[in-house]
Amino acid sequence: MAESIIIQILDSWSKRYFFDPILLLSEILSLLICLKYYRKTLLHTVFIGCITVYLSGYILIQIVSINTFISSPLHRKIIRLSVNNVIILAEFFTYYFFFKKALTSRLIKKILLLPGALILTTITIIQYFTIINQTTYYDEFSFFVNAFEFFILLATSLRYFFELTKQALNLWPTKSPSFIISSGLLIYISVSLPFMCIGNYFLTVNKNIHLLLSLIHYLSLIILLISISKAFKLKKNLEE
Amino acid sequence: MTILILFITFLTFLMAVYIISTTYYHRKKQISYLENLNIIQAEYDKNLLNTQLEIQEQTFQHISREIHDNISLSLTLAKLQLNTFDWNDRERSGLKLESSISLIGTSIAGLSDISKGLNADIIVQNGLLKAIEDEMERIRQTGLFKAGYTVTGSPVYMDSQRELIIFRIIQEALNNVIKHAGAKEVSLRLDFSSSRLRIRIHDNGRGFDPEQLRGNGHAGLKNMETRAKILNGGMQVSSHHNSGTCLTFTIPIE
Repeated sequence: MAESIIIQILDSWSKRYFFDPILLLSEILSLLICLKYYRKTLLHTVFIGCITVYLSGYILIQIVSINTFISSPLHRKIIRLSVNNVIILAEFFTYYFFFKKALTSRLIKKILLLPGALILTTITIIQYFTIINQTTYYDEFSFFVNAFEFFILLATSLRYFFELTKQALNLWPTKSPSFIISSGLLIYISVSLPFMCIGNYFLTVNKNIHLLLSLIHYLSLIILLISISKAFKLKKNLEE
Repeated sequence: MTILILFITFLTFLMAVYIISTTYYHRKKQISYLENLNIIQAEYDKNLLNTQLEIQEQTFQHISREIHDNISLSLTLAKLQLNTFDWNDRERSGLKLESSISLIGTSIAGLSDISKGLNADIIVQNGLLKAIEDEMERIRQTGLFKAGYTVTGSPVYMDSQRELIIFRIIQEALNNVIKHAGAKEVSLRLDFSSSRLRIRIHDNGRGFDPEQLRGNGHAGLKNMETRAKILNGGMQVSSHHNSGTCLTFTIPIE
């Protein structure tokens, strides 16, 4: 049985050019680095929580992909959808708290609450109906919310870079945790946007393109994880 | 289709990199500028401190010289006369008493002059123009000089630190005229414009060779020049033997 599981995992990984174990390893390493340089602040805790969600969600998806544990394709899809929903929420609120501290514009901070409430409500509704009706009908909605979340984070990180040019601080960009995290986030969002917007469409039309886009998404996620770890290693407040 | 999507993804990636690198270099430039500014500020503060120490040292020397040459001498003479005071010789003692009172009065006036000359509060309280006016009035009261003072343009008020340095420059220049120039007339002109203050001090004294004086390391001239440089300004000396001296200071208004 163990051999069968290993074969299944290896088969699944080889189809995705072994990007999955690389991402898994990156998430574990990133979590370990962040725990090593952990400081008792809200942002440090929130980021560690977010990486934990990434990691546990990813491990869950890997387990679910093995037929031995869950044979029903529907159940597998529902679990994947639920994991995706949790990641959307964790991701958005992590960066919401981050930008709340890093941005200076009070108006932007207040405006950010609106999409936050919208995302939370929509995801809760999607999750509720998915579990109640045992269906993956709401899959597309989840992708739509994910794309929406990315557009909001894109606009917020662009605002951050705009504010950075106006501020008179004397901290070198490479010594600024907020600059490093925002740079990683901007690359992650901009590179993943095509996947978020049209990835779901290609899942049925052209699986190769879907695979390519998801691999690019994973690659940008690794960049984001590296930048978060680098920011933690600076041993400063993350909003600095 | 794959190439198109790859191209779009690459394009968005390039845009992100462009935004990050532009911000990075902008910040780097901004911080380098701030660091340079801090270095210049530190250099300026250092020069200012050095000059303040120099001024302090000169002031002590000036006080010492004044007390030794004038006040101490007058008081010693007064003491000598009072020591030889004879109650029986009323006529001579009366003269001695009058002379002693006069010497003590001169000493008090000397002390008052030193005090007025050193007190920087006048700058804070009354401003540069009033302080210069008082200084010129003191020169006039000696009766030895014809002292002219004119102000043209719209006076600009600077911070008291800058005004004090300008005041000390003028004081030094006027003292040089009194002590060394052998002049009968001295004129001071302040010309204010929107960007600079020009100070011109002219006397009809015996004059000197500026290069020779600089070569000899004349402290007064060097100090005036250093003080003007601290204010990012400059000094020009125009003088010839027996044809007077004209000192011109140009101080930018910040």
